[in-house]
Amino acid sequence: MILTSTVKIKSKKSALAPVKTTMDIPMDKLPEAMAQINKVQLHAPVALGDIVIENFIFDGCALVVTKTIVE
Amino acid sequence: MEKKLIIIGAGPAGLASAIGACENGVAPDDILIIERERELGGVLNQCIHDGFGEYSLGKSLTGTEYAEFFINKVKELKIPYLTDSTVLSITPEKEITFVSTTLGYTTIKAQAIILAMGCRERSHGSLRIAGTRPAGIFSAGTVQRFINIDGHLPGKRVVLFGSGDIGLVTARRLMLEGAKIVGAYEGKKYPRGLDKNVKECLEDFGISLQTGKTISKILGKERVEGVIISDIDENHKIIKGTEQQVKCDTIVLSLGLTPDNIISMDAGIEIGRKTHGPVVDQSYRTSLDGVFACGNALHIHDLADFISRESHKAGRCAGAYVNGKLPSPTKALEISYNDDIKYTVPQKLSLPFYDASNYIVLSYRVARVMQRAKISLIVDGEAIYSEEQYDISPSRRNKIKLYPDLLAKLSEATEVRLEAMEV
Repeated sequence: MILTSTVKIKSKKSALAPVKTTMDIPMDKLPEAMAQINKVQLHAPVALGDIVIENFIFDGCALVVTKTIVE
Repeated sequence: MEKKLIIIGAGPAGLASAIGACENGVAPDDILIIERERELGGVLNQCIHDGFGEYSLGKSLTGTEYAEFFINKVKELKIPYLTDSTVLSITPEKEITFVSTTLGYTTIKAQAIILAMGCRERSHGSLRIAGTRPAGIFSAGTVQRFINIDGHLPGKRVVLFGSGDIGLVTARRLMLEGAKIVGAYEGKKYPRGLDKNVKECLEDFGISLQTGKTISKILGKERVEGVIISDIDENHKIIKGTEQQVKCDTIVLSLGLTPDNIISMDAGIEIGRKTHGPVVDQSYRTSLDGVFACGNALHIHDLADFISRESHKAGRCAGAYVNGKLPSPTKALEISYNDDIKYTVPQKLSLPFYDASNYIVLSYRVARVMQRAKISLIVDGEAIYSEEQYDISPSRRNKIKLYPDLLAKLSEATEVRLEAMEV
């Protein structure tokens, strides 16, 4: 499944930024994926599509931001 | 201040209707969108999960991405909007009063209004569950907001009661963030949400949804400590001797949605008994001249995609009204239906049709689960359209597209009836 979650962000208005994987993550890799996602700390501004982690869980898959947070 | 068109709500319905109105000849500056939250997008802002846009945009997006697509379009078109502004009332003269962090208490007059306030979650107050009222009982949407926007996990051992789509996707979020779903129960014999969500959000995580069960008692004083689960019969009566205790610290209720129409009712707009939204015609006109309704404020939709499509049309119609192009109804045809149909939207057809070269969508829900049913549209005693539907249930909206050839027959009609027959 496409894994969607949130990561911490330093921003005026938002505590979290939503993220998703660009490829399906197998069910048995979900705990590892969530553990990595929970370590991320972003800083505003971020734009929809910004890559948070490249080669996430496996080569060619990325974790990307799914919402523009301007400030 | 005066505006030609005011749209109440900037969720999927409000945004798409603004775009529709603008594309049908209303100048952006003549439109104003009023939104209660501090940003545009409505409930989509807390819908971080994937699956939006498959029908209307041809690709699968998360709720936030889907919202951003429409927000960007509204911004490109330079349609004015106010956020942090809550509409308190509308009058039959189409005066809208709202409170806003920037403008204070303000009244604006509009030529036309689109009601796009969305919906609320059904609360457990209506459920009559015995026991105490400790902390730890939440509606699914509230939990979704806690987790996805505020970053709080409301509990560790969670019982899901009700199987609406928000409950299902929220259960998955809870599990991913480290909570345990200790039970998932549904009072009806079938899931309320989409089958896809039952599979992907529960079954894939090893949780099976148990249907025909209810919470007969909530345990705990300060905080939820557990629930008693009981089987129920067809008449929703608890079957004695089936009680089973489940330990939990949180109850998530997903009992479905109901349109939010407090301001519509206060304005005297006729509300459908089954839809709980305004009664409308095919142009989304309510009983109050110049007031239109769409999205989940009109009736509860299965997918945001369907809301966007419908609301875009409602916006076009409101735009036509503002520009004097929407014909005044000379005749209204109520759409009647048999017991196996729960409701239709629109509830009536106004003649003449606006833009009769295009099709009109007649949405309906059936009243019970049917394996195979024949759906017929009957005009003056003669079926002008019929089709067979398989595995239909009240949790799924169905539709018939009324193409120009059918519209031609309907414009001569005196009686219109929709029938569902199990075959």
